[in-house]
Amino acid sequence: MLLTDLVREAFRSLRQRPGRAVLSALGSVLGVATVVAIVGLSETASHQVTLRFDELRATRLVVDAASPDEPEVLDVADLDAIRAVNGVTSAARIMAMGNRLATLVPVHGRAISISPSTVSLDFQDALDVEVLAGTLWDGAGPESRVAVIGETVVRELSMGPFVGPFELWVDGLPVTVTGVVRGSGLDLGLSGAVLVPESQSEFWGRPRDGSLIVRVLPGAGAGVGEVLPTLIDPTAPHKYAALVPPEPERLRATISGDTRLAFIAGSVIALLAGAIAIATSTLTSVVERTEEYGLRRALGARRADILRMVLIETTVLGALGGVVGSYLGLAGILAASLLLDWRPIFEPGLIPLAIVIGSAVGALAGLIPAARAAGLQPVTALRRV
Amino acid sequence: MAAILEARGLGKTYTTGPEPVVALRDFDLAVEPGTLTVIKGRSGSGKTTLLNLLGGLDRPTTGTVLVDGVDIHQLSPGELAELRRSTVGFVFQTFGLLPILTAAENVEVPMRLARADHDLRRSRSTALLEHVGLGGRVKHRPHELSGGEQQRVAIARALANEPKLLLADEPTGQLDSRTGRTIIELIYNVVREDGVAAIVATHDPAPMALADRVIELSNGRAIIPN
Ligand SMILES: Nc1ncnc2c1ncn2[C@@H]1O[C@H](COP(=O)(O)OP(=O)(O)O)[C@@H](O)[C@H]1O
Ligand SMILES: [Mg+2]
Repeated sequence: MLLTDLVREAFRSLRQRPGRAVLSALGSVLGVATVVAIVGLSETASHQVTLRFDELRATRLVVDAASPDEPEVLDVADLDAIRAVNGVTSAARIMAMGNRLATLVPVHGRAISISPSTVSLDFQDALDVEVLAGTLWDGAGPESRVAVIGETVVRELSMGPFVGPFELWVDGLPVTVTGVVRGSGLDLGLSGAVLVPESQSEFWGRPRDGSLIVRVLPGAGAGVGEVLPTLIDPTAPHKYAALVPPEPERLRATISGDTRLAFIAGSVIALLAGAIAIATSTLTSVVERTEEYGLRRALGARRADILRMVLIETTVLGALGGVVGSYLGLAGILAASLLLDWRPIFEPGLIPLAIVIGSAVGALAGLIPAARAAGLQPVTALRRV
Repeated sequence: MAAILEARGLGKTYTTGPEPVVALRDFDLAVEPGTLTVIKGRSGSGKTTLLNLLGGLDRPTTGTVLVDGVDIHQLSPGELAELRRSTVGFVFQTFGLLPILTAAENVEVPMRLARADHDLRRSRSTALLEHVGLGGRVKHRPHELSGGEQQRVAIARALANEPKLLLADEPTGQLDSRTGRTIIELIYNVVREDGVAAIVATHDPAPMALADRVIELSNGRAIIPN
């Protein structure tokens, strides 16, 4: 029989039992959707990292001690001089202070260890800080002890979501937490941070480490990086160095290395489940259609004709599942990107690939039912007519 | 005239059940082209068993079946399928039409299995349906046809690859006697006009008058061999 005839007949016979067809295809729909979503999202995520990263790489400098063996607390008296450099858009000083214990109540509370850092004015811009809840402390006077904290600190305090300013007790004194922040910058994971104003540095003790974060116009990084160390300490221009964030390749590799394996495992499992769904329901339908196969054999169908007929049906099912599944997966990518505020990346080649995968799943799933249908003895099958 | 079909010492014992059932024993038959043979007998007398053996659907326990001088039970499964496709046409009591296909497409199934091209199939299925008096029902589905009409489609399908042998197992069993008679007449015309050898199993007395030979089966034995 010609392939077009076979495919047309497969469609009709699937339409004959639409409920069963939908149910069996569901497996491959979900399998393919998972694969498409997983591949698309990992693509989207790694591009996200790269985009974000390239942006930061081009516009941010971190000035630190040049030799890590001789940690030097950065001492920049005049941030305004740095802000005045051509190409600099903002500059902030960040100083890590010693670890402290903090509680939610004045006495006898459960204490957590915090690592406060003092930050200069302008820090929101320079650190690329995003306020998740509450506010920064701009309004507070230099006398008030205030702080903003990262998400991990909120979790460690086990206080539920941030609903408004609250007190954190450090050494018997209250510190008002005005908001929750997140660093959009990748290397400054602010999630464990407690940021406090520089004006309060006496309360927080002596700095252990300090760096200068400078945002520059795109393309100005190299030039600014050259002049900054001299500007900070004209007597020792090699004491400090302006660094750009680490190589993007490594970041991207980390993301894909960590997740790709889980992604592949997830896809394979989803597709296997899809194949099993098609195989099971096709086996039932082979039993139901025993007499039809007997009849066809009586009319002169070879075993191979029956085998092909069942295989084409499951392949068509798998392919249909692939079409629907790839669009479902695409919708998943879009929804996730919307939710995470990412730029969705969708490889158009994924759709034909998904259809091929779906067909392969269908063909694979059809092997056992097809062999069973082809193995029926014509006379036994016909007895049921 | 040389026999198109010959059965010699044909016997079939089913061993699938708890006790072996001898469904047919020592059956001899020779059928010439252009003749109508009626196998009559009660339900359970072995008619279906006999037709299945003659058409190569089942293998005998004893004896041989020769079609055109070839012992068909020596053939490979592929050659048997080829025999059923091109030399034998089957008609069943329950018509056996595929519900998803139109009348014409049902007629075309054996031609498709024989890999006939589309145009030839179309013209031949149309001509065959006209031949059985269903020229106006080409695009109807089986459920849109009466029982008699469905059986006509089945006869047209059985004739699709110009078989030499037509095997009909109680073709009128599901039909009222008037419709049944027209079906038998149709088979009779095919025998006379196309030179096909037809073997019709039935317990309906109507075909007897038109038959060249009537064989009665009882408990798997021919009781009045002609
Ligand atoms: N597959 C089978 N297994 C066991 N016994 C069978 C089988 N097919 C038919 N028989 C028995 O063989 C005998 C003849 O059956 P059958 O050829 O169908 O008769 P008829 O067509 O004349 O009604 C019956 O007794 C029936 O029960
Ligand atoms: Mg019978």
